[in-house]
Amino acid sequence: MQLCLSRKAVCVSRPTAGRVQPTPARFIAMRSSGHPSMKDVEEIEKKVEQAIKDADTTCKESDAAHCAAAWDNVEELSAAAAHKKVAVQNDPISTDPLEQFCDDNPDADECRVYED
Amino acid sequence: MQTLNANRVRATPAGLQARSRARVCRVQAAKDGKTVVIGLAADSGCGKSTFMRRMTSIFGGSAKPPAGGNPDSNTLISDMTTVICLDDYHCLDRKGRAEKGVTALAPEAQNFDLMYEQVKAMKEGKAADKPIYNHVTGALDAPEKIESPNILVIEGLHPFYDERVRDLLDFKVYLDISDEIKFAWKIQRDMAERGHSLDSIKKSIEARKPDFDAYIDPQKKHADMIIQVLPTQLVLPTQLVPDDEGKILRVRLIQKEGKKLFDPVYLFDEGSTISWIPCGRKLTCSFPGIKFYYGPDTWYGEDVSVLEMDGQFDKLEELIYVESHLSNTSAKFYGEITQQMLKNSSFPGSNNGTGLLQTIIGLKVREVYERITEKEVVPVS
Repeated sequence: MQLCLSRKAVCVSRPTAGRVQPTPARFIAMRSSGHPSMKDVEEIEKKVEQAIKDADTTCKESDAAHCAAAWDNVEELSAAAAHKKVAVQNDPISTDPLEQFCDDNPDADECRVYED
Repeated sequence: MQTLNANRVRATPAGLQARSRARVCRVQAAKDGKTVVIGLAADSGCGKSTFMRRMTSIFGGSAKPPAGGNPDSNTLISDMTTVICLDDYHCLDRKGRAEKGVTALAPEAQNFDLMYEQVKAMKEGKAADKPIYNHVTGALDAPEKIESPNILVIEGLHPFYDERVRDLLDFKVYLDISDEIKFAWKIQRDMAERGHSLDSIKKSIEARKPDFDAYIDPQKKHADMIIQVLPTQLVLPTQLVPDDEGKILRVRLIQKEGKKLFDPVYLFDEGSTISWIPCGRKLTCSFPGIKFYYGPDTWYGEDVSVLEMDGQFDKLEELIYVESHLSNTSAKFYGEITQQMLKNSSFPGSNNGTGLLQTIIGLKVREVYERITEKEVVPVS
């Protein structure tokens, strides 16, 4: 049983198909800046905290509909925080120093990739 | 549960070593022919993302946001599948909803016309410039262009709410999480957060319940397959260690009968009622063990078959043993379910019915796709 794994999405050979070589252009195209970081998580967590305070205030001062909307907002932000945390944990570039280095220096010797 | 240490070989510190990458077998499907549209409905915090990842894993590749686009995009794209989050069709952003006193669960906050127009366009092979709802800022960001994929998955709160959108869907799944389990999961998710307390979690659930019951829950009658997650019946609530609450689960897969696009999975004898405890002489399980149930039932007036698992997998051999006794799973080779579960063993629910039954639904989605397109999907290994 072989496993499908790749850091970057590269179409690799099945025994009968031709080989696909990653080109430098492809590497550059794959270098993206939008990697989730713990800073993003902290930013959302602060919003959650604030939203909870706002919800408590709104429920005291306003009607049931606005109260529900405020708590719904808390739920939305809590879900976003949880998803961001999972994204950071799953993104090898955010967690692995070698991956971070290779993301910035794909031509470095340590980052060579061999495909059979 | 044995985890396959699925990852790459690291360069050793000594000298220059090339990192080798294991062989990847994948079908790069050309987008020609029909787009199959799948709908997934569930409340927030109910495991939609995990389910999405299991489903897309059957088709190979890993689902990622569009490269070079908005980092807060909710869209996920892999070789054959594109997953769209229906929150992108909110017509009221966070500020707008707060002003009007409307939750995201209410139909007034959704632009169903645009949802219908764009899902229809993608089903017909055209690209769509889809808005982005930014969950961090709560605002609607500039649209992103989404190409028509082989398999389009629309997930969110209202995939079956609007009749026009519902009629575009080839296969519909609903995740029905019981109140106690929802509460337990939200505690696990949020209790470590600054600001949250048991009280705030409870208030949030209670405040959203009226709209959830009015607008989201009624959609479940339209689904082709429903996953219900309930507290276990193997252990009394008083016997449960707090850590296990929400973890030992009774999970039911409700499958509509008489559908042309898929055959329901069954145990031993289709249409009969079976109660099965696999643990015994051939298989030893640790506490609380595993119990299966299979039988016919009705769901909102329609005939269904129910396959239910209560308990936890503790060892790999339990999983393969169970798989070998299920029929009509749509697996393409012996052990495919086990292999998928192992591949995704880091996902929540990998040791219980949620992982097993969601994986089976993923295989059914593949079956639906193959029946509609009359093409074969080579299994990912």
